[in-house]
Amino acid sequence: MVAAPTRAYEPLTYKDLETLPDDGNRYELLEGDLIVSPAPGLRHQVISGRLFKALDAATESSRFGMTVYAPFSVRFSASNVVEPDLMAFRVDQYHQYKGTYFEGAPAFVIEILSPGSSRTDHVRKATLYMENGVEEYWIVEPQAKRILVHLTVADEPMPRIITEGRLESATVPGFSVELAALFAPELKIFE
Amino acid sequence: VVAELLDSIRPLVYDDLANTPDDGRRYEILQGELIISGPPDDTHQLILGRVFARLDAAVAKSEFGSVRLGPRDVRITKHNIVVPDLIAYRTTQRAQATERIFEGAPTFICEITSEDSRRYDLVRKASLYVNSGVDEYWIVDREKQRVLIYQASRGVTDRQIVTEGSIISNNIPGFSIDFADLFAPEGEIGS
Repeated sequence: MVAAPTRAYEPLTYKDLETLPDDGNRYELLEGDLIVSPAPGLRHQVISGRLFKALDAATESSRFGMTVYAPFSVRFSASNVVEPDLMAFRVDQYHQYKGTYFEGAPAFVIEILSPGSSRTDHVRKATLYMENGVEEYWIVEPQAKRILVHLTVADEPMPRIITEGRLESATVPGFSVELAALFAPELKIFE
Repeated sequence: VVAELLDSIRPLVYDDLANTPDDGRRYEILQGELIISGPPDDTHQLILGRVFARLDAAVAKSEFGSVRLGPRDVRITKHNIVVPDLIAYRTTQRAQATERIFEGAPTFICEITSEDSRRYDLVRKASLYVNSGVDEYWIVDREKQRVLIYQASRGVTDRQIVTEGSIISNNIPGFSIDFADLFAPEGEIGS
């Protein structure tokens, strides 16, 4: 864990993130609090790749907007800065794209849980996203082979828990994933 | 119940606090996450009493509004419910105060640090409060013998650190406290 240098006991801002090393770790801020996650493993990347292919194709063919994959930061406020694994924003949100970061809420966000990542961090992110205008948030859990879906418009207390079948996005037209295929072993192709 | 809430896959809300035990500990929700702090110690209560006495006297003499000692539940947002040591709000905000809870951001919040909650007071709560409409946030930092004052209008980065002299509120007419009196041992307060 990197010492968040001299300002660890006050809310950090995006300016502090710029001083942190480029060491493969992911550095994020939730309410000024530094969250450090190690570089993702192969399983995480395989699933991320599968999701990206489908999401990118859907955002493009439906003319919804654009898909971006990590590392790319999203700045909700000075002290709330995250790097989602995948995000999609609408065409009319293009002005929120500031070259090196996205300002405000993308329409759709996907995070893939790693063995080391904390459940409470994802709960905190769900709060940040839901209270700030993200329309749909998926938390993909490779180990549990399930997806938690938070939908702002539904305003439900619990995320929907999807464990099988095909999951369709309520936000990005034409984007859906078959859970069995998403969670299939990496080297299925050689079996 | 507590273990279940700590391991929740969804951001918590006010109703979740209804089932927490009445064990003297303080149960709060920050960004949907359950935060538990131990009961206050004697010095905490001594300092809190001093701040309250001066604040209450100042508010009684002006048209400002109301003062409340904690524990008093304050719902800053749906997924951020705090129990500050001391709050003050304007007469125009009285409709936000019900028997059970204060809804939204009070004008003034004061927290006296304790060992287990100091980091929350200094980081996450500071960020939450200044971004949610709290005009003035005082943190009496016992560990470092100082008072930090955040003014929302001037943003997160502009924060005052007081270690001597008079501490004067910008929002509550007539409210000030002498720094030396705040930390003085019992029975040694001047004037």
